[in-house]
Amino acid sequence: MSALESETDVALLRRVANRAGSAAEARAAEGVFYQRHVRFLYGVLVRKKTELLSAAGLSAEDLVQETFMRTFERAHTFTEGPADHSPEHTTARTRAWLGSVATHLLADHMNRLREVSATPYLERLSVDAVDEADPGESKTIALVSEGLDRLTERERDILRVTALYKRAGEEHGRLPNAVAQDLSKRWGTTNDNIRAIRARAMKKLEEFLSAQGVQAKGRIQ
Amino acid sequence: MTDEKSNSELDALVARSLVERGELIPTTVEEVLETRADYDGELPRALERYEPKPEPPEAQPVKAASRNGDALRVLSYIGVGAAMAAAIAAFFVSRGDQQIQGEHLGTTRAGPAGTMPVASQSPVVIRKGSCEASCCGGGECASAETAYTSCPTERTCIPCAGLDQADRLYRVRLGNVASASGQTAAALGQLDLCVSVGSTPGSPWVCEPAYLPAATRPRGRFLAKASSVDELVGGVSMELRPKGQNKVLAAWRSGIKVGVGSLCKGVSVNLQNEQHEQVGTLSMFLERTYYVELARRPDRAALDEVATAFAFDGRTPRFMTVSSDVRGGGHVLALGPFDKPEAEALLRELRGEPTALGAGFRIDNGDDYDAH
Repeated sequence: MSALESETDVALLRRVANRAGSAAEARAAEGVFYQRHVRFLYGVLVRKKTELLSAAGLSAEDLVQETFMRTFERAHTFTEGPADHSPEHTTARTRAWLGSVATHLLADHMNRLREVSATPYLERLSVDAVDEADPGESKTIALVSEGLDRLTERERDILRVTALYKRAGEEHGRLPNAVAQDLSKRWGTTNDNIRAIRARAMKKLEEFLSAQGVQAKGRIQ
Repeated sequence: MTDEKSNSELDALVARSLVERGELIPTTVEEVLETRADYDGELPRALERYEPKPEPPEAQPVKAASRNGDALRVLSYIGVGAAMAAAIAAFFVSRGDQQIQGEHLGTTRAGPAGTMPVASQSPVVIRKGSCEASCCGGGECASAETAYTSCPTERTCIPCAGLDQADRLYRVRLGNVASASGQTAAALGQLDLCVSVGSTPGSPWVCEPAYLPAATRPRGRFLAKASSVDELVGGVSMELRPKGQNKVLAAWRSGIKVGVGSLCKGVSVNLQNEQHEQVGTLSMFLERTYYVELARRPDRAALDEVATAFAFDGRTPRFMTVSSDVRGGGHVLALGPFDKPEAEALLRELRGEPTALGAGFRIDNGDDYDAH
């Protein structure tokens, strides 16, 4: 076992970021970091992500490779979390960041009509978001999942893509034109109708949750 | 953008639920802790192990130099961003020439010939330098204005001056055309986007599909012939035409001023019809196009052997094919692309090295490279 293998993710990424100081150490640190997390990321991506990967024109392998590549490029932006957290929490924090990189990359690839090599969503990446708390209790989340099962595949697809872009920084749920066009083509409808389908799906969900005694704040339009 | 009203709380619950269902990627600590998705099957071959780079390992040259008591020769130069697709391929597995992506249009130029045998001396270390202080844009430029800290072009360090001399070359890169009326990608694929650069009457038009999927043209469309500042200032013309026809559906023309704005952010192109209605949009970028060519060889194996004479520290060498076999071969080992001053500085340093490969070192504008 090499000395690097006992180092924390933050320490490894510091070595990666310090490539100018020692390129050999940076490369070795990249290798250890990769082995530590590749099975997690690949496992996440091969599980039910077919629609999103297909829409982005990527395979799970492609996205794993690009995610690590981009992560190493941004190694200097990864900051340490609270010191009193368990090793499990610390590892989860790293993996959440990898997930964020992958999510932003997916958003960029799906928006391919805009400009294929630009990465505006990846540029919005922030490590702070990985520490956000869950938006509701597990029971509520399970109920939302139940509500999603009651929607059509078309409605779920539109909600899924919209949710991806919200996570990639489109806080108001806006979809890039190219993505909206891809969705409308996939479901044989118009851009305007995509918005209407999404609004109806959210309304259905709100009504379902309300019937279950869960009240989501705010208005759905 | 499509405007979507949202209820942030319900949106967050939906996203969280989609993560739990496995349909979105976990991006928070709490989500990861509940995912437990470590893959326990056999990884695809491409992911089995991490392979930093295809170039010769750094450790070996260091040992050799140490045994011989020689100091490694270290070259440094201004750092500029490497092409992403090539870099990704280089990071994980050596995939060969066909993985260097990007496309050409039109004809090619050829230069003088010349190759040398592989050096048996200690390797020349070529190290990526930092962005110089007098820069004005790019992610590696500490003094960049906020608007230019992130560039959709592939640049990470844009100097403040010296890039707009009349004979400086840039390679025009074009994104796909996006329809203003919601035409599908398939419909756009039936249209040609034709381009002509320069004010000279009769400047040739080169045409390609207005839209091609990312899998076919992942980094956009690169014009085969590099364009000088003089030509760009003279004007770039674009026309949207039915495939294979001369009929013009929409057009755009503008002189391009080369500066930090256009080099970082690119240029937005609005194609209009005769009624001045917007028909489509696309992005145009001016990419670097000077390469420092280290060697040309008839086959890839010979080039791989040449590559062992170098240690690339923080810089990804590019193995490319060329569309002609001038200068001793159809395979090229090069560094770049760079702006001209950086390419010249690196070439000067390389030529100061006592290596038998020196005669093959040269600057090329990449016009006969099959990919950029």
